[in-house]
Amino acid sequence: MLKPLLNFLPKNQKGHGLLPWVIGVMIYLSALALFGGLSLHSGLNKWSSGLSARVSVQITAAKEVERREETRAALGVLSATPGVKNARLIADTEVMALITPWLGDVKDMSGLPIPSLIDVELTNANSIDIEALSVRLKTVAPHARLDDHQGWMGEVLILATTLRTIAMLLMGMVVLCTIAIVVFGCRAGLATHKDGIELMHLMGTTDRVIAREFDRSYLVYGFKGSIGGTLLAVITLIALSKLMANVGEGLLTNISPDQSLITALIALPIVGTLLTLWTARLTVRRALKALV
Amino acid sequence: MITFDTVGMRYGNGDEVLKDLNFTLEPGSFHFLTGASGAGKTSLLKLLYLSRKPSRGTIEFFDTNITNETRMNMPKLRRRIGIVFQDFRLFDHLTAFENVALPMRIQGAKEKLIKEHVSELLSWVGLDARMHARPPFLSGGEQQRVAIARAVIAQPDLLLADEPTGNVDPEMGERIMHLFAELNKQGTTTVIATHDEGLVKTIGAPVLHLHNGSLSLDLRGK
Repeated sequence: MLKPLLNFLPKNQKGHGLLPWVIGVMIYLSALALFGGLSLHSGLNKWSSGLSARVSVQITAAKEVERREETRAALGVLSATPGVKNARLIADTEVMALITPWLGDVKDMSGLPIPSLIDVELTNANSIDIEALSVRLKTVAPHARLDDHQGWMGEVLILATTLRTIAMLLMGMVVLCTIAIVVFGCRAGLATHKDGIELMHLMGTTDRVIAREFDRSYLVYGFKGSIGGTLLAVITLIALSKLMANVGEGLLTNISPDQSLITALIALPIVGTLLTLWTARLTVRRALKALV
Repeated sequence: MITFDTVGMRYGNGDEVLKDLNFTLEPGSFHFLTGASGAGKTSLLKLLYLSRKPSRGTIEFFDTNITNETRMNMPKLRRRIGIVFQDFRLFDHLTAFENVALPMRIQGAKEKLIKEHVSELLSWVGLDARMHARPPFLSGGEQQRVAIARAVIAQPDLLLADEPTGNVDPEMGERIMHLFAELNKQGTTTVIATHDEGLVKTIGAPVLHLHNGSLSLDLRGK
């Protein structure tokens, strides 16, 4: 049970009304940073993990007859390779759909040397030796080019790591700012109530009891600010998610709140409140030791 | 017993404001503290209510040498002191009742006992109708009585009062001095700083007289 307070601090401390607002803004920024970092990171991970267990084979022979023969031979090699779950020749219509954005809606493609594309699904990302498979393919289909997407996925990984690092840095800065604001607020509070604190000391109050009064005040400030900031962030994130869903297929559909973000959002007000409380507690106790 | 042995005190690197103070306050004694403005009365009171430590010498406070006492042990000693400040130093956001109740709450007294004692004492100093008023709504004299009630509520071993009758009418001044005398009879060591020569003569207690930071004992009242 909470011990009763001596109430020597006025309930509405001058200048402290802004503190919950500032803490709220910090929590809001933290939530956005978390959303940005976690969602984009998990979205890119989902996207790249979808590709990590896939390879594609292009047969780029210029003559159609040659291309068809090499394609059939390549499919044969792929089907016989352990670790390959499925090898599917992409239909011409699908290939056309893929290149239409670059070439436009061309009616007659007969003159164009469109390569054959084989989508290969692996049992897992490390189930085959890419180098060996590439050599085997070359023996039956000299125009075959195996692409395991490693170059592109490497770039994605760097981007994901960079985004996560930026989000963490942003979170760190927000935490430091929150600590600094609470420390300034505490010092201002101590300065404002210096006479009252001295009087309480002279009447025999211990530092612990005096600090407890500050603890309660800052617990309330921290809680109000954290809850307010989190609620505003949740509203913003829901609106953002809806806007992203409306954009349609693509990268944005993969960027959506996942379990880790929901957990983080639940933890955020608790962390914000505790951070405020502990910062105030340390600042006040340290300052009290310097008094009479 | 409170003993000062060659006590000196200075603020920062300034000159000594108190020099070579040697005196003993026996338990249950009653002293006036007099001296012109700037003689060092406030500084001596600060030493007595343990707001400051001496720059030199030793102070024995109820069998404890406070010169080397740690901060942690000071609250226990301070609870044995009741102080009436010249500027009252009441909490404006608390009622007269809550201000007076503070020392008992600090000592962890039960709320029932606090209510009983505080109400009785506030009635005694003529503030029964004003106990739920906050200090900004009390007159100077009423505030002084609240400050006095706060100082004596926990029946301190040492009572220090700085001009305790300065803002009250003679009749109330007499009542307050009577209260102090009653507490003193029960064993509270009492030191009252005053400029009021009439008060000193009426009570007839020994006088600690400060002059330029040095102390002399005047036993004329005894």
